[in-house]
Order: sequence, then C-alpha cells, then structure tokens
Amino acid sequence: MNALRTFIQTRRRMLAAGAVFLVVAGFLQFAGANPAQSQTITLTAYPSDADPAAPDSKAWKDALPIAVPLTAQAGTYAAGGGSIPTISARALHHKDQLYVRLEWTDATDDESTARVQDFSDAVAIEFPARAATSVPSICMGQADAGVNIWQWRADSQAGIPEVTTIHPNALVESYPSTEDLFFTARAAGNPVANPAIGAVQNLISRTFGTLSPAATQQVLGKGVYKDGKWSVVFSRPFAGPDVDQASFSSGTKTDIAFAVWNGSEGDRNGRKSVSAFVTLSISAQKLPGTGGGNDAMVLTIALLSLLGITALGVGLAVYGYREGRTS
Amino acid sequence: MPKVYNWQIGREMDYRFANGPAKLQFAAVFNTNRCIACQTCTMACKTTWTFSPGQELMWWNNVETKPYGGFPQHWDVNILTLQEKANPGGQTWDVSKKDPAKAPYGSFSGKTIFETADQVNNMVTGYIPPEDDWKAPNIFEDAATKHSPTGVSLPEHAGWFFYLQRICNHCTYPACLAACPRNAVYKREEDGIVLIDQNRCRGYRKCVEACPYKKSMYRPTTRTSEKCVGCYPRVEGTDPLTEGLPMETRCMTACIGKIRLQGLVKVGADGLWIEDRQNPLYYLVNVAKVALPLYPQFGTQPNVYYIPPRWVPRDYLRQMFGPGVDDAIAAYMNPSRETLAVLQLFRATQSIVFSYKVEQGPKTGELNVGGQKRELFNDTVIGYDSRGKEIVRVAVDEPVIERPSQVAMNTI
Amino acid sequence: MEQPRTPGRAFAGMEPLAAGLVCAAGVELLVLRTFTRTAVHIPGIEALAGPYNVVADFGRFAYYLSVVLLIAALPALAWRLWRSGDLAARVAGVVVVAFIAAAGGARWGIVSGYWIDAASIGAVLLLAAVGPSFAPWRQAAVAGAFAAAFALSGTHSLAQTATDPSLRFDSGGLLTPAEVAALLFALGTPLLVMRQPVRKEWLIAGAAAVLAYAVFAGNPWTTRILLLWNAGLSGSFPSVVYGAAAGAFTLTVVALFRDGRRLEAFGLLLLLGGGIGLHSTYQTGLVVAGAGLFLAGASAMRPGRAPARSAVIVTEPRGRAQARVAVATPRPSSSPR
Ligand code: SF4
Ligand code: SF4
Ligand code: SF4
Repeated sequence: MNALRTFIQTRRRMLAAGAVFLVVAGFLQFAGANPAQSQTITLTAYPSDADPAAPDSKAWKDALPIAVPLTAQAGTYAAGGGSIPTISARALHHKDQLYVRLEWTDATDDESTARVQDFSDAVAIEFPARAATSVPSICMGQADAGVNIWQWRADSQAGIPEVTTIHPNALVESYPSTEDLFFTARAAGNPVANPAIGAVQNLISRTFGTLSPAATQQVLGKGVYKDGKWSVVFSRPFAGPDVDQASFSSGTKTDIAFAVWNGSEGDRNGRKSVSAFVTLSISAQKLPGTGGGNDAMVLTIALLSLLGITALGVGLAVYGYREGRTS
Repeated sequence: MPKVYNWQIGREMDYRFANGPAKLQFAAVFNTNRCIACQTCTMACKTTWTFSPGQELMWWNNVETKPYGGFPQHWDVNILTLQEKANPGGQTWDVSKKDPAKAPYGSFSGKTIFETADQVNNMVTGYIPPEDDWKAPNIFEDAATKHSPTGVSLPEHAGWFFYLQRICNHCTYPACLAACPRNAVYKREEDGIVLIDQNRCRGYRKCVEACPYKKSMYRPTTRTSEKCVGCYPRVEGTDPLTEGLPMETRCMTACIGKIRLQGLVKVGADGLWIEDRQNPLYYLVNVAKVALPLYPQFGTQPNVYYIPPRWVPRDYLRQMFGPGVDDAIAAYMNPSRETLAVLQLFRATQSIVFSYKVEQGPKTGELNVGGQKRELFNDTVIGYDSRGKEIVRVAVDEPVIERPSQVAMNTI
Repeated sequence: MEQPRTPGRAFAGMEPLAAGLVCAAGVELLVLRTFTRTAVHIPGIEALAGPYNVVADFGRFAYYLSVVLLIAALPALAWRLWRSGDLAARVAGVVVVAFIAAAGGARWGIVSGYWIDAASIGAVLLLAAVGPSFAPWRQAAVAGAFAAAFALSGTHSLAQTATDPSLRFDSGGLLTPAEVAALLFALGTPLLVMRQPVRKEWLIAGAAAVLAYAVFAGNPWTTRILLLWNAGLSGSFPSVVYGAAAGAFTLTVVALFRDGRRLEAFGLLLLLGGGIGLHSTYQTGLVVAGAGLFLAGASAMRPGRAPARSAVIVTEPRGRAQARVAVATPRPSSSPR
C-alpha cells in the first residue's frame, strides 16, 4: 500500500516536473531565446583604424587568419571540385563596414572566360539571411532559412572582352548593330552579362537552383593575384538592406562559409571547393595586443591543473583498487 | 530519377524530369539526298539571329560534310567514343523487339547519354569542345572517303561523302535542359521549342557540355550560352507575313535544295506522337518510315528526322540513324504514290502545313529502279494550314516550260 | 548509521531526467540536425512547405526542451556526484558545476568564446581523468577514448580561434587522430557488456551495422557532411569501419539496457548526441552530462560496490566480503563478475 502511494506520488512529481520543462521549453522557443552558445571555429572581425579595402592594406597585417579546410562539393548535382584544400580568412570592420579578406593558393590565374573552355577563378562567402531562424543548409540554403552569397569573379573584375582582344587577327567588316538589344542576355537584364556589374555579385538563395541576384548590389570586392596566390577583399555596410540578405552589428555573431572555384579545373556553379559554416564574430573591442601572452599564461595554468587533477584521479583509482583488494 | 518513354529507342529510360504537359512538338524532315551544301540555310539563320559581337563562331544552323567534317569538329565521333568507353561493346540494338507504335526501330539495349552519367557530377555524358573545334562550319568540305577513278554506283558508293544539315533538334528529352543546374533551359509546352532563359543563364556551359549534337553554344560577350531558338516568332505566327499563322523557320524556308519540311506534330504527355495520319511529318516518320532520327541512341529523342543518303555504306548509316536505315532507304528509293506526293510539299510554301490530301492523277510513265518496275502517276498533293484552309497544291509531275528562243541571253 | 557507499544507487534517481534528455536530444538530432538539413535534397519538398514547417518547428521544440532538460540535469548530476561522498566523484561534480558556470558566462558574454572552448575541453578531459577512480577500467577506457577524441578535435578549433598568435599552430593534423579515437571509442564499447550477447542483441547490432554501412556507401557525401555537422567526424575512413562502429555501439547500448544498466546506456547515447569537437555549449553540455552519467552509472559496477538498481543489500552488520556475497540481482546475466 505504502509502495503504491510512493509510486503515485513520484509519478505525480515527475508529471509536474515534465510539464514545467515543456512549458519552459515552449517559452524559450516562443521567445527565440537560445541559452546555448555556438562553439564552432570563430573568425573574429576586430575594429580597424585603417581602411582595409585593398587586399594589401596594412590594416590586414595584424588581423589573425583562420585556416578553413575545403572539400569537393559532392552531394548535389553538379558536383566536383576540391582542388583547393584550404582557404585563409581574415575579417575586420571599419566605419560600420564589414571587410573579409580571403587568401588561397592557386597555381593558375584564370581571369578570362573568352573561350568556351575557359572558366574563371572565383570565391564566395555565404551568410544566413537575416530572416533565417536557424543555421541554414550550407547547400544553397533551405526553404525556411535562406542564404546570402557574395561571389567575386576574376572574369567580372577583368571586364567583358572585345572580340578583337580575344582574337587580334579577327576581321569583322561590320556588325549591323551593337546595341544592347543584340546582346540578348544583357537586354534580358542578366547580371552576368552586364559589363557594369563589377567584380562582386550579391546573390540570395533558398535551395538549389534558386540562386538569384539580391535586390541591392552594394557588396564591393577587389582581388589581386600575386605569387601564385589570390587575395580578395569583400566589403559591405553592416546593415542588411532586406531580410533576404545578411545583417551585421558590432558585438554579434553570425555564420560564414566559403567556396572557391578553380577556373582551370573547370570549376563553376556546384563544382567547387566548399567549407562548412564557421562562426563570424564581430567584436566591439580591439584585438588584444599581440604581445600580451595572456591566453598563453592562463592556458599553462589550466594545463598544469589538468595534469594535477589527472594525477589525483589516477592516485585515487589506485587507492580505490587497493582498498577493494585488501578488504 | 524519373522514367520516361523514348519511342525512338523503343524503351523506358532515365531522365532528370518526368514528362511535362505537351501539346505540339516542333519537328522537321531533312532529305539528305537533295542537299547541295549551298549554306543558304546557314546564312539565313546567321543573318537573322547571330550577327552580333561574340556570336562570330556560332552557327545554329550548319551543313557539314560527312564522314570527316563536323561542327564542332568530330562532335559525333567524340560522343560515340565517350559512350563506347562508358559501356564497352554494349551499345547495340535489339531489333527483334519491334512494335509499330512504341518501338518502330526495335529496342536499344545500350546506354543513353543520361544512363552513362553518374547523376552527381554530371547528368549527361558529354564534353565541351574547345574553341578551335568551332572555327570551321564546314571543315573537310566535299572530302570523300576515297577517290573512285572508275566511278561509283548504287547501292553503296565506293568513295563517298554526304551533307548533313544540322540545327537544334528541340529534343523531347533535351540533354541541355537536363544538364542545367539552374533550370535556365526550358521546353515550351505549346511547340516543344527548347530555349535558354537569357536572364537566368550564368554561363556554366553545362548545356554546351551535355548537348550531344553540340547545338548549345557559348557567347563570351554576354557570358551566357545561346542556342537555336527554332525561329519561335515565326512558329508562333507572330511574323506579319503569314498573318498570324504558324510559319516555318528561316533555315527551312530559305532552302535552295528543297530538302526541308518543318511543322508541328501532336504529342501526348508520354512523349509519343499522337496519331495524325494526314500530317505530312507524321506520315513521313511514322507511316512511310522514310525519315529517321539522328543518333537516336543518345536518348534525347531528337525531332529533326533525316531521309538517309541512299549511296552511303549501311553500317555507317545504321550507326548514325539507327536500325531503321534499310527500310527507310527502300521506302525512299521505291516510294509509294503517297510518299512521292508528300515529298512534293517540301518548300512549296512558307506556312506550316498541318495536313495534306492526295488527289490521284493519271499514270504518266514507267521506270525501272534496281530491277523493279515502277509506275508513275501525276498525283496532286494539297496542303492545309492550321485552320484547315488550303495553302498549297503541287503535282508530282513538274510542268515543263519551254522558253521562247528569242528571249535575250541574260534574261532569266 | 552511515550511508552505504553505493554511488550507483545515489544516481538511480537521475534516470527519468536522463531518459527525458536522451529522448529530446534524440528527436532534436534526427529532426533538426539531420532532417531539416537534408530536406533540401528531397525532390518536391517545396510543395510540402506546410508539413515541412510543422516538422521543423517540432524539431526546434525538441531542441529547446533538450536544452531545458540539460540545464536541469547538469546541476542534479553535480549534486549527486557531490553527495556520493567519493572524492573523485566530488571532483567530477565540481567540474560539472564549473562547466555550467562557464557556459552560462559565455552566453551572457562574460566568458570569451576562447575560454568556454578551453573550459569545455578541460571539463571533458577532467571527467575522463577522474573516471578511473570511481568507475571500473573498462568504463574508464571507453570514456577516455571519447575524451581523447573530443579534446583532439576541440584543440583544433582552439588553435584556430586563439587571439594570441603564439597559441596558433597548424592543427589540421589533430583531426585524424581524433577520428581514430572516436572510432576506437565506438568499437570499444562492447567491452562494457561483459557477457555473451544474446541472439536478439546480435541481430539488432547487425542490422544497425548494415544500415550504417548502406547509408555510408550509398550516399557517402551527404552522410559525411551530416556526420561532420552532427558528430564532428570527417568520415574519411572506409565505410566498413563506420558500419562496424555503429554495430558495436548499438550492441552495447542494447545490452546495457537489457542488463538494467540504464544510466550507462543513457550516458553513451548522450555522448553520441553531443558528438566530438566543439559545436555549441549545448552539444558540449550533452557530452558533459553523458560522460558524467556514464561514469556515475559505471560506478555501480566497480568491484566492492553494489550495482545500482537491483541490488538487495543485507544491512546486518557483516564484513565487506560477506556483503559482496549477499548481493543478488534478479537477472543472472547482469551480475558483475
Ligand atoms: S539551304 Fe538547303 S540545300 Fe542549301 S545547304 Fe541548306 S539544307 Fe542544303
Ligand atoms: S539538340 Fe541539343 S541543344 Fe537542341 S534540344 Fe537537343 S540537347 Fe538541347
Ligand atoms: S530554326 Fe531558326 S534559329 Fe534555329 S537554326 Fe533554323 S534559322 Fe536558326
């Protein structure tokens, strides 16, 4: 009888506790208050006094890079790529603009898409759209969480070539018309055909095949190829112009992923080297002085205490084992 | 991967998309036996669609000299090689599995270009011909396989060549469309014309890589791919000339050799042609079986049909047009009264002929073809437009007109 | 009368909470971390936006519930570890509390990302380090393998995140050892079973192995990326290895449940849910809770201590040795050797 009563009481207590848990969880979900904190590799954008727009700006000297591994995109048609194993990323902010500098090794400088077999080197950053409530699928976003992609292309930076530059010996008596109307894609408003597009395209996507230009095109970018390496700087003002695009502010975090296309490998669209999402943290504080071995000291203390406690644990284990034996 | 029915290979096959709704399909018959490679068709297309910067190497219509020529060079040999590598020794036909409606040429037991691709890296087996391959629209013009000092005779010429006229096939299962990761290529429900959306194309050239006929082409000045548009304003009937009635394309109507007939055929949602006995294209392809698809084994179900050249070694032709070649040549060499009448419709009018009628005429002669006696009749074929109105009437016997001898020498 | 030193019994009360946490985290893992991330690959999913959103919201709810349960479970676990009286267990309890404090501090911006990362690795390592003193060697070894994998993978992130250049190094080489340790962990779990598995257990484990192998071999890329996101593994070894790992792990969990060793089973499942490496304080929390529960449950298996739940303790004053003899369990298969 007593046992039964205890059982019912515990049952009741458990039900009550369960109800409390459910209500609290529901409340958190409703409020969108996530008590957990992301711990993925973090790229921190510290404030910079100098203008970091140029890839070789001195502002980048002290910005610490993170090395992000890249892999072939092999999940979805059109798969392939993987010829660029890592990309090095740095970030800064200056006058409420976010700057991201990417650097990777590529033996060939592919800037022309003049011939049918030529593809351009390119690099892109992917952010969750402002409207995304959870980290979107890295693969071009998902229906309930879109992504904002900034793509820099070497061929766009180089500009659309004239036939006479592609083929110096070509002889064309005359073209009946060189109006935009006869550059069909240009006339159709296609950004890739627009000679004034600039090096960076600002795109949005909500799953494969839905990639389209964002409503505004204010992302700037500049790439430099030197000594077998591309360095590209992207920049955009913090405020996202609409919910489909990313938005930033000092002291917040978001996610960031990278993709690199190697033109000479035939990389384009899905065929590329891709990273997973890492965290982008926009720091309000300046980078702690480079000399301050603060981290190093605390880490040493931590390591020492760890060793101590391990020794203690092993000691206790031995002791416990002996005790067990002797009793 | 959805399954679709491809009647040209007589079986189901894998294709990225299921059949969509379809009403009419752009189709044409080219009679290779009559082409003189004057390239009037080529220039008709060029001067209409591809005369602007960046389109210099683009020939949506081209006429090439087989077997050596090709635009781009060796396109067909290259695809056949890729396919053979992917399925060594397996690219064969089973002609015992014939069915008049669903498998008129038998069943292809090999793999299509969709079936040899892994569907992850590529939807279609193909390649991008490098720029140099596109530089000569009719390379090896008139080059025969060998010199025949003693002359040649049917059925197979010792030294031979022939002209192959090529435009986009507006395939029922387009490879270009299946390959586009952005779904920028689309096939129109109303006429089956395959177009590249010039707003969405991002110049990935997956269609250039995938189209086995290499009829999707890259334009560096817009960084997009362009292709034959099937002269869709004419097919729609928006050209003022025909007052709202569907009209044949530029390359068709310009044809000097009268080798081309183009129109629209009724198709069902399963990719099969709906019976339409009096449509001249339906008649030539499905009843007389005198015209065959180009490389049906690729699996795209192309919609330009060829009357094979009757002097060319049959194994070459079987590879190019499938196992229907022998019947098609027989039907062409010794045509029925109806076939002969329908052949008169080629280039008789610019408007699309939707149906025809043959009025029988008197016997006008006898011939001996390959040991067979043949009678000739002066039948008359009458063509009707989309509204059933008569638009053309041609007799088998061409009227002989003698010019008066006094006409000045330089008058034509 | 002094409380008998039966840590296992002290933790029995954790079971309902642990069960709830395992269920919530499991649903979260399957729906939120797996389904919604792969749904984009399902043809025609756009047309099913309504049902999809319901499922995704359900997954998100499971996430929040899991977080709440975790926030409740960690202090409860720490309290019981402390109460058990064992010095090592007390250390473990302190570690758990320290982790909660650090994670909370990180969330409210008091503790920097770097420090919560270091603290996470430290917490997991410490739990494994004190393990041998209150859990048998088998459990300690299994927990040790997991902790090694977690720490190696976590150190890679740490090396990438340090603001002090002197703490940066090319840490990519740590990922393969991490993967090896993680696989050893999974492959080593059957050590815990300590008896011949019965036919049914073999069958279930075999099915899990075949399924894992099939998924791996069938769609390697998606599986790998999911494994990377969910469990921090790169999936770079042959598919067979992952199939075997899945089989071994399943075998152990099923056998542990059958033997009534639920806390250990829950602990293992939570380790799986948390994965190796640093993802978020939530996932690290799952690992801390998992390691704690696993070792706590294991403490009951230590020679000289009564098994947790089903023990009948003869309380008449007798010597230790006699007490051990008097221990009886309902199922012979689960008696400690
Ligand atoms: S116009 Fe006619 S005859 Fe001349 S090349 Fe073209 S298809 Fe041949
Ligand atoms: S011929 Fe080529 S370009 Fe034309 S529809 Fe077929 S696959 Fe596409
Ligand atoms: S159908 Fe029109 S666009 Fe196509 S090849 Fe002929 S003329 Fe050119």
